[in-house]
Amino acid sequence: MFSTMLLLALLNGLVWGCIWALLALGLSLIYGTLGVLNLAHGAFYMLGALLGWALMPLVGFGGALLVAPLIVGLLSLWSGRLLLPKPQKNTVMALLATFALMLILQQTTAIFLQVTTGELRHFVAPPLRWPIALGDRFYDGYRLLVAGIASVVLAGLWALLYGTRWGRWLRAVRENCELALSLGIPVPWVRAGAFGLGAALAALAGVLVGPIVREVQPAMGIEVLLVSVLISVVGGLGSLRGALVVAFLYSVTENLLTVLTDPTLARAGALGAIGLILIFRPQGLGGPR
Amino acid sequence: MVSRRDFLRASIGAAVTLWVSGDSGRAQLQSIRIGHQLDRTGAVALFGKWHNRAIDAAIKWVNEQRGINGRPIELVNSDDAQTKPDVGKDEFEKLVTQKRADFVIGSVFSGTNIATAPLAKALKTVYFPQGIATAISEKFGNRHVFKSYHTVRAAIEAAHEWVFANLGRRFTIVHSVIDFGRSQAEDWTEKIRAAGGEVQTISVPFPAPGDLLPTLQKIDLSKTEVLYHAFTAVETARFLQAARDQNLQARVKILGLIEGIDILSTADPSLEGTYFISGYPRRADQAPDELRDFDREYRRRVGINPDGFSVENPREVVPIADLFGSWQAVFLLKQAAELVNWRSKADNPALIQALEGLTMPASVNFPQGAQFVRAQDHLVFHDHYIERVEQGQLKVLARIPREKSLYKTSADYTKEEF
Repeated sequence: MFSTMLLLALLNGLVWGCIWALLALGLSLIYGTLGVLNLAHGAFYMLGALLGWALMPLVGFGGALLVAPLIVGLLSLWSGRLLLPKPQKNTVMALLATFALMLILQQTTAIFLQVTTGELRHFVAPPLRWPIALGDRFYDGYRLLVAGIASVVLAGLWALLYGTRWGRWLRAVRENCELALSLGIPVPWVRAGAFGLGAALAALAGVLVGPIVREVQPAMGIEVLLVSVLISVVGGLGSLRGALVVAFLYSVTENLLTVLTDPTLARAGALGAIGLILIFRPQGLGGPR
Repeated sequence: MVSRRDFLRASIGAAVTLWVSGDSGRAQLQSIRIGHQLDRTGAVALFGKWHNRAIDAAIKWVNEQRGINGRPIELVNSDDAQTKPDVGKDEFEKLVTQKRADFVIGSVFSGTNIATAPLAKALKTVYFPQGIATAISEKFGNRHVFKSYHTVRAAIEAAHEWVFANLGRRFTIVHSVIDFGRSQAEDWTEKIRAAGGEVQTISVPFPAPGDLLPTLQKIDLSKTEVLYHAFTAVETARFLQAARDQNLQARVKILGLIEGIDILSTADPSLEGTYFISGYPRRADQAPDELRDFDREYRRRVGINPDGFSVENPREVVPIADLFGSWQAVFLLKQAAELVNWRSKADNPALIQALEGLTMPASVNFPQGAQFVRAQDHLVFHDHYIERVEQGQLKVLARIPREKSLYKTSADYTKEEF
């Protein structure tokens, strides 16, 4: 019984690790390129989840996986171009701009849902039922599919950043924005692109998580935002490798702790545990020495 | 020739006649005002809306029956109690002092009920709270507070013998930490231990975490016959869906109060085979034969179809049993007020004494069936039902007479001053 519980917790920790990685990498990508902590990240995740709910009956799960992040990506590309075209001298203003964006997205979605459907909360049906027997328990096979999809996307992200010209531009802008500009790199578009890509990753996480948490509603992004910010900070803001490692550390710790205690304490414990890293490495795990 | 004496006699007589008839004429026109502490927003807004409709329909029906003592009834709504205790309390005060409500039917939110009860006593206004936390008829009630529908403890008292005999006495209780969940866990634990059963409890924060799988993994199936859940509607749905991923519906008996799902459709496969304790069947064809006529009339007047959905919007589930509390409060008032010929709030002591121990026969006024008010704790006792979801629909397995829900109370409001 206990060993089965541990095994399930470990498995679930790895699956959620993939989801947190998508979220935290998106956030870290935006921070690294634009120098802004994107507080609208949770709202992009929420939009992804709700679009997933709306699109699945129309275009299927696979279709929703492609279309929802595309819509959110384009929307945020446009809003990023509008809000944050140039490096900001005043980072507080940039932070406030993303905060405003979060409120606008959340409230507009709430009003839209209320008017069109009369309800704020909606249920997402799992796209497949695939119970996998483990001891006297079952693990939801859909979650393995989620882990698989997320891993492929993460690998694709690495290939994009390290194998394409756009990736090189993006890394150049991260290293030295002014130098990149003087070399003729279209900096405003690279910045907007990073914003869009980060948001699309969050939206993808939303589509994938919908069938796990079942209930999707406009406020669902807030809790997720807090955890993703902490993961990116501990990972070293802007460091993609750091965010990846911490996402898994956090998730596995949380799930293992849930075996012993209640979910709130487990989450607090896991956040505390990864927070300890900051005592030894204040710049974060992957931050510059 | 009219003498001075005759003239005086006649004019005094005329004046007295005018005064008396004028006064009684005014009294006949003056309506009795029933206030509703209505939550238009917040967690119980959906319930608030339906309770308001039930009260409105009940008042129309009373007025068709010549009102109360011939005086018409008028509904006065509060602005918005917002599902918040302090706001609800203020709204109650406004209802009584500004909108001149003679009686108030309360919020569905127990926290608001508990905050309002002392004020009902201070303002000497009879109050019918609609939350079902046990405490409102125990330590937080008073002589001016009447519960016109069951509490958690009454429901558990009614059901426990049937549950132990038919489902088992080895329980795992998974409950939300809110009062509604916690009080169910405590009351069941006491009953199970007294019956020599085993119980494990798993508490879940409110709101419940997105992923319920880790919580469900903690259930020790080797020690569980009955899996009891105590959440509010949306969380119940998520809990049962997560349980279905673990195939628990097929491995243990799943039980809860109908209040956990009373705005949810039972068509979802995760509800199939689960058991519920209810105060009344959701579906008309499950109602006891002798109540069928009353059932039809009640549904017609409130706007509920035979399957328990809204007539206007056939996708919206109506918390049919829950609404009896509000509907029947109006008729409790009518019955007691007519008994004591209630004219104004000055007659409230007599009204309260009439309500204490009142028995009500089954009728359109009391469509839930015959009931009585226990004098000590002002709680109404009615029948209960065990229902099970079969092929997507709630089916009654057993009807439990109201005497079975008579638990021992520690309250005695009859000793309080008015």
